[in-house]
Amino acid sequence: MNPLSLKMLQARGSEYLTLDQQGTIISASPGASRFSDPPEQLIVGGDVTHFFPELLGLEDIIKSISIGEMEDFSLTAIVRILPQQQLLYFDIHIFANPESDDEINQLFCLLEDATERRVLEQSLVQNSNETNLLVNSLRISKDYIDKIIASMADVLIITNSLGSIKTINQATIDLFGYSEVELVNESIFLIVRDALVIPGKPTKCQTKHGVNLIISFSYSTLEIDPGLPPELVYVGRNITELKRQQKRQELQYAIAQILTTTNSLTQCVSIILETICRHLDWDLGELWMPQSPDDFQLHLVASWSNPALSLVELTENQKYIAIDYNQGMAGKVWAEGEPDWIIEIADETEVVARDSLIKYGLHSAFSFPIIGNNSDNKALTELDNLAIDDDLIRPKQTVLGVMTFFSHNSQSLDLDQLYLMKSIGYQIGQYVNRKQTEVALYNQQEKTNRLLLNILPESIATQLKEDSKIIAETFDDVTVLFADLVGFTNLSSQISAIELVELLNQIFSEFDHLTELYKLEKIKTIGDCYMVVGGMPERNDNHAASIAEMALDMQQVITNFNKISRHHLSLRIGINTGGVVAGVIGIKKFIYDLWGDTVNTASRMESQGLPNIIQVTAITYDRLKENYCFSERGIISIKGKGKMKTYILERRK
Amino acid sequence: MVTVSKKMCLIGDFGVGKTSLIRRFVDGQFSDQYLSTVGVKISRKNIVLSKENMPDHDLQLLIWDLEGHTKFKAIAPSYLQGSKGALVVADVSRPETIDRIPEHLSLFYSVNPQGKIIIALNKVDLIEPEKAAKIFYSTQSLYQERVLSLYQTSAKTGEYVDEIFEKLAVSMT
Repeated sequence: MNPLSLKMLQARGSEYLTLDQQGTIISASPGASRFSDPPEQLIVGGDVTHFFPELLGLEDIIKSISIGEMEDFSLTAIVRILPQQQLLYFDIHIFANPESDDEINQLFCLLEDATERRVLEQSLVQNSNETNLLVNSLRISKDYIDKIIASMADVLIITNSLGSIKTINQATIDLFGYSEVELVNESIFLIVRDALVIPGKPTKCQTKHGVNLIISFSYSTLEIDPGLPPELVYVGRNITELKRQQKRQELQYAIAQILTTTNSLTQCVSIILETICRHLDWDLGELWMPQSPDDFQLHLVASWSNPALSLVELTENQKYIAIDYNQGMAGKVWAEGEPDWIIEIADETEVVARDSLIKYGLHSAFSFPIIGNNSDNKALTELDNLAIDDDLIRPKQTVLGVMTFFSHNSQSLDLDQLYLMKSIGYQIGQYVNRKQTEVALYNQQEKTNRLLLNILPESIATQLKEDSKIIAETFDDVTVLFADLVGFTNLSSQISAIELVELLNQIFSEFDHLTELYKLEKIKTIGDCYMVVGGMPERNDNHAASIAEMALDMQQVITNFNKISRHHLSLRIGINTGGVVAGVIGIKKFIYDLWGDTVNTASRMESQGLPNIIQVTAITYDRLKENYCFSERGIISIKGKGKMKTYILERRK
Repeated sequence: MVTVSKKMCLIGDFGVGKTSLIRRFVDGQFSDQYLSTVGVKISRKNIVLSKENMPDHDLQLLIWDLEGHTKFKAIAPSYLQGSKGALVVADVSRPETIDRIPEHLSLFYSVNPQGKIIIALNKVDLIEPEKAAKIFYSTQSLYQERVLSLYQTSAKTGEYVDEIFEKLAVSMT
């Protein structure tokens, strides 16, 4: 190489080697060894691949160039690491030596320093690649976060400090039915229906399609920019179903409680309607029933409406409607005994009062039957036939009434609710039946009581009901009266037996009234004889006077009777005072009766008395003489007692 | 004794760990710091080859660490000239580096139709073993016909690093 060329090369930091076609170094420029590996170890006459390992494997190429088949070959940006960790970059260009005239060319191997350029390039590439890797990992982590957010089952809503929605996740879109565009930049209160979102508390929300949801939100603040108010991150869980189940359970408890604490359907129906409405989010509840078992139309019996909506006028109008069997929803429920649901009233044609329901903004409706046993007033009869009546053992079910509910919000069909209400319908039906039976039982019991009191004193009746053992009680001081209708036996030959009984009944009924008036106890009648006692079973001190008053009034009764009937009846009355034993004996057709000497003597006073005379013993006389006028009858002989002095009661003093 | 030298190349996308694999194999070292390679750097490593039916012999491996493929700059074919084998390296945590494996295979075979290739799915330490296994089997099913074999490697832990170099070296002789 001529010195000029060499100088020009070296000025550019380049060196050269010349090689033969086997790759043996023929010559080298003075500085060429700084490019060798390891540096400064270049030996002229040695194999070039020992000092430039880059050329290993290029034997074929070197040969091709030397015979002129190939013009040149370059390897660029070869790196050497110098002892101080400095980098040396250089390019190798191999081409035929233009100064050689031989057929087989010597090769010229130009070593060109490219350190400056490549170091610059390295830092550019480094930057570019680092950025690339960073972007890549950012993309991966963003994807990852996006996937997490998208796969979250919970609702995620991010708003600014004023509640304007900035970000939502897929769950929000799926749950509320709004698209992302429809929600972003809108207020969160587009979906939240409560005035506030309180973390952990059930919050009322509504979907685009008007379905109410209960969401439990938690929220946290997100500091984006230290200078600005933080964003709010809401995470919400849909607890609608949970709440619904809770409410259903509460409803069941509430209904059960209402039914056990009230006495009749009329009394509790409004509370039941309100309870159902409030628990299940209905705005209007109605009970429709036929007026009698033979009525083939339903009439509004009771209703409740949400005070927040003015539906009173609507319910007033409903009162004038009669629903036919199988007409509309209520009529159908009545006919089929199965609950029914209408999601959108406007979409149905066969709805009773459809137009006014729509006018009042009601959308959904559901209805269920009140199912009970076919009992009405026959409960009593069935009860009587308990042992043989198969129908009572397998009760014949009837729809007693129909409850219908309407709501302002659209409510999608809820089968669980439907089944629940069907069972509540049974519950109410059973309640109605039970109450009817209770009333019937009560009436029957009253009747039985009245019958029992007719033959027994109340205290004895009570005692008997509680314990059916023999009741015998001693009373030391009572007054006994016997009265016999004189002339009655003769009368029996003149008039028919039925007329006779009617007559007797008439007189004795009057006597019965007198016993009530003087609080005396009628014991019995024996044929035409009437027996009454004073001073028992409730003890009192003025029994003798009460009996005296009774006796005088009895005479008056006969006098009046004779005047009206033109019969000629008279009374023979005997009275005595003393101790008796009273009680009920036997188990069938039992009566309350008296025993003892006092009774016998009283009977004698009557039998040995005279018509229109009240004969009393001396004992009775002593009790009464202060207040009544007596005349002496004299001494009479009493069977089993010997001689007794008796008196005749004349009148009050 | 004359030592035989053989040239092998590491090719793949930038940042897949070519330099790190060489550094692990040659120096037994690893660094987490990324330093992009520009141009080519050749490392030498002498190994003893044991091959059936042949006495043990020394081999000097000339390992070419090539600048990685970027979207701005493809790998220059001139570097691959005279290379008996190549390790095609991909990063299991970057799917696009795996997707580019066939390009690298084609490039190398176009220069060296008789060359041998081993695929190294590097950086397995960064992902779950299950995920790594899944990637391995799907990649294997795609390319096992075209290459000597595939390995999951980690320059960080050294997993299968020596194996890929040695196996490739054996195949090249």
